[in-house]
Amino acid sequence: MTKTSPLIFCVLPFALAACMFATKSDVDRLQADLMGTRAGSSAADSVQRAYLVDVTRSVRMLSDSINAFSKRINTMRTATETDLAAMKEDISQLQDMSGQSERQLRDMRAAVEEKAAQGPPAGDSTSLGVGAAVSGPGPGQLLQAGRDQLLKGGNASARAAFAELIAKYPRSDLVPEAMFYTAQAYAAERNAESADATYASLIAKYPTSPRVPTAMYKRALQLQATKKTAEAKRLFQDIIKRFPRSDEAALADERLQSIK
Amino acid sequence: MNLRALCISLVVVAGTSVPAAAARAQDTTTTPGVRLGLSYAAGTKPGVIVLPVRGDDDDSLRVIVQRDLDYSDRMTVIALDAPTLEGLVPAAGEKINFPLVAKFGAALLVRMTPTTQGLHVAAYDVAKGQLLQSEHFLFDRRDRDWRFALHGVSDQIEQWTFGKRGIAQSRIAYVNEGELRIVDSDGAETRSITTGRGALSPAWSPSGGSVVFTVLGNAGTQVQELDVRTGRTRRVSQIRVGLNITPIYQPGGNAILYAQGSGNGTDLVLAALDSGAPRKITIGKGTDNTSPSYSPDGHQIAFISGKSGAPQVYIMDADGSNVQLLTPYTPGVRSYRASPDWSPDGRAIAYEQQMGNFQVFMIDVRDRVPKQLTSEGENEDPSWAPDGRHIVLSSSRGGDKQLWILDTESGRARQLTHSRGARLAAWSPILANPEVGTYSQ
Repeated sequence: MTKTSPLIFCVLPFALAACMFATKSDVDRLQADLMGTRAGSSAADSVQRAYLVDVTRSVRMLSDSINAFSKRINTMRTATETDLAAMKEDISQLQDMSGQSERQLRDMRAAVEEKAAQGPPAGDSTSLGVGAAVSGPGPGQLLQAGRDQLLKGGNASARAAFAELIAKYPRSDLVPEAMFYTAQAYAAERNAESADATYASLIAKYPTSPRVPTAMYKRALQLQATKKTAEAKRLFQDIIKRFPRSDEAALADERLQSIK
Repeated sequence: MNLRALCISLVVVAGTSVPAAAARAQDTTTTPGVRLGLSYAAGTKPGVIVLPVRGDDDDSLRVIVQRDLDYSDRMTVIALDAPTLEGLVPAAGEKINFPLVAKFGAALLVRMTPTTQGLHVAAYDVAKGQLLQSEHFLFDRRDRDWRFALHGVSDQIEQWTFGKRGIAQSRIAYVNEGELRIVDSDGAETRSITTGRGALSPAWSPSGGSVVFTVLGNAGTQVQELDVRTGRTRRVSQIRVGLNITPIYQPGGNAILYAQGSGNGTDLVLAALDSGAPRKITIGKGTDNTSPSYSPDGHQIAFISGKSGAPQVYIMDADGSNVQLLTPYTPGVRSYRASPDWSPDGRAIAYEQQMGNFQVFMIDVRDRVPKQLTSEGENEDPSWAPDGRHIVLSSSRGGDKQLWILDTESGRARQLTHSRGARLAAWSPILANPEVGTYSQ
């Protein structure tokens, strides 16, 4: 067993006491540091919390703004869609009314020509007809007569009336109509070739006639029926390009999809 | 045997010079001199007397023919009491007393004589005191469809008289409590041809042999075709599940045109019966296009479209091009029109229009001038008779909604059905074979 020096027993209490004093002051310092740190941390927390509150508020405001904006956009979109639908309806109505007016005008014109053809009242030598009195029925009458025949199934008679119109009144604005109905009469007779040729002539001679999109569509259908798919496709595309708002453009688009 | 009332002998046009026809005319009577049609004052309805039929104890033959002639709205049936009528029947070997018949106001006299094989029918021009035409019809009262066969006799009498066949030998299909039913044009012989529920919008095939209609089921509405003779039904296979409504046959009978709904509106599509996918005829782009009706030549289609706002009647070429508004549009007036039906003569289109309640109108295809046909009660779903003169419609004029037949020329109306809730009527073409079966959906 090792023997312990008596000197150690004398020095040890002093050393321990010194250590004790040193530790206490350190602890105090440490405590002070901790308190300081805590205070600093607490202050930083407050700042951070305030900052977070700010950020949250900003985010909420931004979100509210986005929602409000989104609502406004939706409202605007709905309004726009409603407006567009209404505009579409208005356009359709205008087209319908325009079609009706044109028809009524044609009927009136035929009636006027008929009256003129009856000649001036007895004794009135100054009245002059619109040409119809001199040379038979006017263009309006001929168109009406042809259409009447067409309705009754008298396709050849109808074509004769339209041909007379075209021959006697080549500058009449009713010529494209007469050509269109001539093609219709041929189609009713199952003479697809002549119908197609007449539609082609109408498209070439009167490219601004409202009958052109229909004539083009009929031609494209005929091409498709005779297996000339590439030509039909081109014509369908042409309808969409030239008359995008027409009913025939929508039909052409549908046909193109089925070709693909 | 079905329609035995097919003629076996000639229709004798008096004075005909066709030797073969003359050779077969052994049981017919003819009068020298040519005539086609009856002599009567223009613009009037000629009076007609139908003589009692020997051996017809319940007088039903005379009553049915007389009623058919009355329902034609072309003749005035002269009602006489039984003894007076008997007094007009000539005794054996005697001649008809035409001056006496004329005194009752008759221009036409009809005499039916039973034979071993059927019925000999003679029509006399009273003013001239001579036979107009006569014919022998195969006919047997024991046949299930003898009444319908007799309607054929009435129609033939009209043909002799006016040169235009009558419409008695036709039927009307309609919907009642979800069942599809048919009834003879005189209101008799009502029968169900489906036993299920949910049937809508029947339409006859051009031959009258089948009916196409919509069936409302769990998976939407399906288009089905029913063979009226056998009662067999089949789904028009290439028509997909979904909203498929208001089907009609193409005039050739080989395809069905109907309205197909999607998220982007409703469009008319054409489905061939044998093969191929349905093809769009209208491109509505969000609007609804429904209730098609072909022109008799099949070149045009009348239909309802909401593309300008309220539903209106439009016409277009059968390929979908050349769309035109038919019914007059008045800015600011939200009129609502529906159920167009193109007349068999092609001249007019009947439709319904909302004016508070619904009323039936017709519009001339040429002049495009509408004419209001009804005003009493509510009147809907017009369908033309094969004569292009009469219309069947559903009407509340008698209280309950029933089918009525309206003469568009005189305005005369008669009630056709007597079971509550009859609607969505479709008038058949003249039927050659009337046998009808039943089937379960």
